[in-house]
Amino acid sequence: MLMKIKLTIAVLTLFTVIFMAGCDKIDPPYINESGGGGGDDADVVQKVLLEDYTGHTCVNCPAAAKIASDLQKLYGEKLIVMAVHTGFFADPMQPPFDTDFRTNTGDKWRTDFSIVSYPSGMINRGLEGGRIAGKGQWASRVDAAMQETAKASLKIETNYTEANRQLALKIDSRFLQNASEKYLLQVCLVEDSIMAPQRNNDPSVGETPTITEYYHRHVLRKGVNGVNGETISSTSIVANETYTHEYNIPIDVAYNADRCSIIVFIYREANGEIVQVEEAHIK
Amino acid sequence: MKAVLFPLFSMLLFLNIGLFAQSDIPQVTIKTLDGKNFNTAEITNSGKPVILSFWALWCKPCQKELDAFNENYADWQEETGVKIYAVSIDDSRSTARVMPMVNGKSWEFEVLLDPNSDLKRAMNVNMIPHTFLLDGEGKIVSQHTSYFEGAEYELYEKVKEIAGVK
Amino acid sequence: MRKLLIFVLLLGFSHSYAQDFIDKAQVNGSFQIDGQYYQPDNAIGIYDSTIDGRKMGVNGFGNITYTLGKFSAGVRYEAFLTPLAGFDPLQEGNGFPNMWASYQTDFIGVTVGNFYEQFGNGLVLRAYEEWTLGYDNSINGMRIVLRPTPGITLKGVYGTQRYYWQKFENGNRGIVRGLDAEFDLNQSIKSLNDAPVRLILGVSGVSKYQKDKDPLFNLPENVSALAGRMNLSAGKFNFATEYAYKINDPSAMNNFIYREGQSILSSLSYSQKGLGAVLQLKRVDNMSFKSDRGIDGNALDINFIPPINRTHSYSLAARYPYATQPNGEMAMQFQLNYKIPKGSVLGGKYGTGIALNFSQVNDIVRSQVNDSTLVNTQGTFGYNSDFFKVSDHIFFRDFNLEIDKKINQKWKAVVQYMNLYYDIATIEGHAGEEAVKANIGLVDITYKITNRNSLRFEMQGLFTEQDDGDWAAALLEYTIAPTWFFTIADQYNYGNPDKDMQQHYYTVSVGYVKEASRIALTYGRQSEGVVCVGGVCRQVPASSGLSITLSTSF
Repeated sequence: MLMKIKLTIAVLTLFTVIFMAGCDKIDPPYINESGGGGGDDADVVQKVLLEDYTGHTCVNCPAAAKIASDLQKLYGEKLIVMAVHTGFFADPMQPPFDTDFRTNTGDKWRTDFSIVSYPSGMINRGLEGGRIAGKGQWASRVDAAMQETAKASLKIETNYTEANRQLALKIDSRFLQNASEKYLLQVCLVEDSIMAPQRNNDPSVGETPTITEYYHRHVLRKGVNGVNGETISSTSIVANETYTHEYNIPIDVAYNADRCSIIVFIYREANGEIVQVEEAHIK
Repeated sequence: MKAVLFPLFSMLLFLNIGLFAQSDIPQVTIKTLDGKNFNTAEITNSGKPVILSFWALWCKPCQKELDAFNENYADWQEETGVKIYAVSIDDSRSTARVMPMVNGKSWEFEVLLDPNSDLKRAMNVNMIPHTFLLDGEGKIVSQHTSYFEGAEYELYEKVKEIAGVK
Repeated sequence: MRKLLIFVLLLGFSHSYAQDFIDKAQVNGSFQIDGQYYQPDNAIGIYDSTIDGRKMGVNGFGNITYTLGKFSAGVRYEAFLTPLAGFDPLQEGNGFPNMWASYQTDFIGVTVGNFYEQFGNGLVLRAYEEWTLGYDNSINGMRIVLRPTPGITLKGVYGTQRYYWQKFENGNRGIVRGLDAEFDLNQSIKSLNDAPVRLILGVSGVSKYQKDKDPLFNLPENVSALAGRMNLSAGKFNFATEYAYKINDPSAMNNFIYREGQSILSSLSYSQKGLGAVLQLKRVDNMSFKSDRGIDGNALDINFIPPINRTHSYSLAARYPYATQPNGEMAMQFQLNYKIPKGSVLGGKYGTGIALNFSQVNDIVRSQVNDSTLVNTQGTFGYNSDFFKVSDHIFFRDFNLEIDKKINQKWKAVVQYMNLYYDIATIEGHAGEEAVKANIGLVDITYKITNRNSLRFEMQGLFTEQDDGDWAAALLEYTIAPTWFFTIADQYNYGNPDKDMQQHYYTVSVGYVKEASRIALTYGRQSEGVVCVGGVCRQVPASSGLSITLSTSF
């Protein structure tokens, strides 16, 4: 009996000690004003691509877009956001939800990465902690991806001719180390701030259930070089060699050229992870 | 390490199955309708058979089975002394409705609560209704899943067999 | 962890003689395979592209438990190759998610490995598994249960929760630790053992630790929740209540607000032979509690806030199921069961059972913390809320009446009426859609041909102006007890506002049961719907094809 009581007290004490350690009451301000930084000061800066899988009838998506935009304020140009409209919630419906932001490229990615719930995100398509991240995980995952050391650099030159709406693109990829595995280059055209209605259920972000004048940010318009991009080099990659790819593409008259930009990223064929990303306005 | 050990471990168990004696009910602490702890070791019937049946409020066939048991319970008890325990696997969303339902239906047998399915898991019940028949020593002699109208007669034949009643 | 487990297993073996290991041990287990072969069915919107080359889905598991006296150990194997339609793609995979070993005496119980646990009603901790939903938040760690004297139970748990197949590493989710103490007054004090008034008290505390890696917010790394409960019974009355409180826990679920959470669940019941009544009240305010603050799906819940409305079993009655809104709700539920006695005019020869049930769930009232901050703005306190105020925003209401009657030796019938209000915009996230107001009626008739052969006939109707409109359903089942069943059924969405979707969803099933084994084959169409068990729901897409379920226990 005495033994039992002693043991009980010992176990209780142990658990209470463990337990009492656990209580953090946070006082305002809750938000950090200055954010985390990147891991490198070298000439080559690691940038991060946040893909936001979304749709105009997805009620939780405006809250996710808000997180993406808050993160961009924090990281500036180091964070590149691309909104991919695909899946059930992106389907054109009865007006006013008759706009169609879907793309073949986006639809392909949705099936490639098994995206079934919206909003969902990918951060450099990284596998650490699962490829698909809910909006609540974006901030910490973006921060972690920023700490990575850059493996490659990207340079985009754009030359847009207003008269025939033709865009000439020259993209230079350079790797910092030799690599025998395959890397692919994916070039995308995005249009920013398109006004169209959006379903919403978060009153702190905007009207519910519909935000009539909603600015859809960083909308993927098309994959410039196919749905999965193209191989950077057919032979082994040599450090500091520049691999150049050039494209000539028309810009659809429906798009506002002032708000269009090109997002380019390099990813490993083996696991799909993005190693570098860059964005440039077409004008 | 894990990849090798566990399949081996499982295989070992399978090879031995034939050698094992009939099973006792696992000892698990569940609840009575008034919230008391109840150790399943207390499921006994002094040498007479026991029927142990898993059910829930949302399971219609389970209730039909227990209704059928209830209708015959007085006769069965008289003839064989069998005792019935009905274990509800309702969780906290419906445990509060179990007692009114049991009384509302005038069920005469013991009803127990297994709100986090601890006993259900320990007895490897996949689907309900699932009914076990225990002999006088508390060993599981047969079990049956699903209930179809009239299945209680088949069960009662077995009860009589165990109780040695013709 | 794994090594520790193996060590404990070996320890268990070495303590027993080799002969005992075989002779006195028991092995139990169960297996289940749910498979479906999909086929395109353009009429209900399933095309080759929807199936996407994935012709089959198979979910399966196997459990093996080894018991030797006070020692037991077990493993669970699962395979989702590929998961059935509607299950999370993260389920895809196979392996041994659960392994455990445990030693239990009357005084102490120790479990290492994966285990399930619940404190009280689960308001601060519940680890459980629900196969039909693909839900499993088991804890991988250690549990100690102590029963020092009769009537006192102490529990301590420590570990991380299961997240599909993802291993816990580098702090990729939180660590959960919890304590629970329960005191049964009547069992503790000898002279009160058989007292007519019984009192049981309980307290629990749970804390989770998750590192703050978020660049935007200053987040609490340790979040704790406390709960107290009581169960008082006196004669035919029973009163039970539990209150839970959680400190600031900004998460994806509550939009990163810093308000504390609380929840209360109370019930009062009266019952005597032939009559039972229960009234339940519940308030939930910002009570989502997950071991990863970034997750907003159906996974990694530490606690469980039960929905208290009735769970329906008939298909059309269950078409609009409710799931708890953990961010805030006020709910009430009343149920009355009465059996009209045998021999009375209404009771007839066998008596007549009546069950009346009413439940309603409303939102809580939220107000701004200050003039410049909108309600629920992320990175703020969130809102203020008056504990007793009920919003006029109704999430759900269900009134239903069920009568069951055995007419004679051959005939039995169940009749049910149900009136439903279902805020589809909130519950299923279909913003802007009008709430579903429906009337549902059904009859379920059983005819006993002989002692072993029976026919069962079900006829249901669901009438609504909203969502998919009116439905009718019929089912005919022939059973040969205790082994065979044959069912044909049809659900017809004749009132769908979209003419092309006025479809029949027919199925043909056959099943064979022997002892604890069951095989069922179903061919036909499955309409799109929501399956809820517990507070968790799963969207099931429409499908067409052949499905098989095979289950066995030993």
